[in-house]
Amino acid sequence: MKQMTSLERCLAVLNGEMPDTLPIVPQSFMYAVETAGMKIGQVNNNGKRMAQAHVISQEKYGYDGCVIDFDDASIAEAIGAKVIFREDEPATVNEDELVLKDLHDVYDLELPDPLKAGRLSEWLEATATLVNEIGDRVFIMGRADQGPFSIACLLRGTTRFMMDLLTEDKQLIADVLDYCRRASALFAKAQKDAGAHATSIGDALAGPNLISPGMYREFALEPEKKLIEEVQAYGIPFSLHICGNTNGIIEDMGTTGARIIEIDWQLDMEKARNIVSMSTILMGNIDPSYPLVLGTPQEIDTAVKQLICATKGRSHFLSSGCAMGRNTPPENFKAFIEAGRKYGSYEQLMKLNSTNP
Amino acid sequence: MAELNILYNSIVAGKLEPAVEVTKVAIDEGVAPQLIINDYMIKAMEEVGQRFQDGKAFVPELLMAGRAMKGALELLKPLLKGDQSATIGKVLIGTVKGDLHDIGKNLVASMLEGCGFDVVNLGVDIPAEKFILAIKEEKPNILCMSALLTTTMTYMQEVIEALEQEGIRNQVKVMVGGAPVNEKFARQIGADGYSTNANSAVTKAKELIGL
Repeated sequence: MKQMTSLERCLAVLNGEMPDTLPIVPQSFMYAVETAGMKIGQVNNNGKRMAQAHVISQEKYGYDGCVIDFDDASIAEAIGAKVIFREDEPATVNEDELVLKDLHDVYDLELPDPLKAGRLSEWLEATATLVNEIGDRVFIMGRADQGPFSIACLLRGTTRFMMDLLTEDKQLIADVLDYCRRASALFAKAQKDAGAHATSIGDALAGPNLISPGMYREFALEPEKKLIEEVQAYGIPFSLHICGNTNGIIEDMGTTGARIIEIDWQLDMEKARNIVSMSTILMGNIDPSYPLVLGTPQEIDTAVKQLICATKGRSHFLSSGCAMGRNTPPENFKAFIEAGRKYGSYEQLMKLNSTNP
Repeated sequence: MAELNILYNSIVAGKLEPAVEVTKVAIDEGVAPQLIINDYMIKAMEEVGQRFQDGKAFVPELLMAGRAMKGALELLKPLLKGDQSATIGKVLIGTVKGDLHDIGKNLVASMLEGCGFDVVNLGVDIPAEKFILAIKEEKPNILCMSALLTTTMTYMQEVIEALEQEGIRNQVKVMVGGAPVNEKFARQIGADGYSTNANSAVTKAKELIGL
């Protein structure tokens, strides 16, 4: 098989074709910033520098896709939330100062303009710069921050919103989530306009680590579905990230129609691969804590081998289960990439798919 | 007669108003506060915790139950003043320096309180010095630390080392938890206990103080 560029490799999998080697798309924005010798607090208000961090890190390690991410606070900030900025860790919404003191306040909220509000334009600048610099050969996923349910949590305060779900009028909650869906769609579409090859949202607060699968289906799933349909119809593949133990909702996540679903480490990838349609790429799922931070290169090699055996490389982007810590030892990250190349090579994938049908 | 079963059911169902109402009636009737707590409130929180661990209740249900429990407990607390036997032990809890996550930590705090512990919740972003100061002042049996980031979980080790340097490590049992933490890591950094969820944290805490 002729050698592909990183971009061709990722697009091949998106098109349901065989790649020359399994694409590696780590969720490594914090690690990239560290690798570039920067601090997140210096780049999270500067898209060009954020792009630079990804260029440096991608060149050094040679992985196939960059996932551009800044923090979980930017859409909420663009809507009016107060944000806590720190030097070493991503910005966080200050949930003590609520945007939605009352859920009805949602009817007075304007939708954020991705080109003007808060730091959203910096995210788009990062995407455009990165696409311009390496987008001809590397896959660029421009994340669009948070999904509908998570935005609602950040505007209302997660603890309060969790209790609202049990006590407040269902139509009012649906209206809040619909507003958040529209805000999310605007930003996700703007990522396509900025040139991203794919976009994505994180909706972690909708996962079973917080709410039941029943509640996920009742409140979070439909807004996600509608969002994904709208954004993909706009012409860009969409990736749905819900981290934590999503065993109870993985089948539902598969029904959203998202071209890519991000899978955290608590899931059995073989099972997930059997549950979710082969037309959906699964992206994951090495544990960012153990082995990536706490384990040895040898343990990482073993974990990657087992993972690729589990999916047989079918519709799979090799990745971490969630965002990698900036304190991941460089030798561990190198071991991750090397193992991906070793066990994800064309020959290995052919072997995996011929011996076990 | 106060129907204290209503208290149990209200906490399990996460209903604040009936929980408070029936507790008021019980207090007026002179029911011993310790009996209300032990036979109804703690039992209710144990049930909620078990449901949580079994995947039958989730964070919203736990928060509502905790709120109902607290509403009743606030009424009873003034009546327990000075009664040492009123609690089964004292816990100091906080999310470590650099980390602002508080939901999981608050759930653990709420479960511990609901199950009979006296809980001092320091909040988030807590440096070692603050933990040390609070240990000296509050004299807890157990210190619980939470971290949700791979970068902040390593700070838990720094706290444990600081306790050693201060000569107070043997005064408290140390429990750790949070998404990136596991049993092996807990042992490596010299913690006494680890748990994966708010309910097993209660079990572990009781075990550590010999209950």
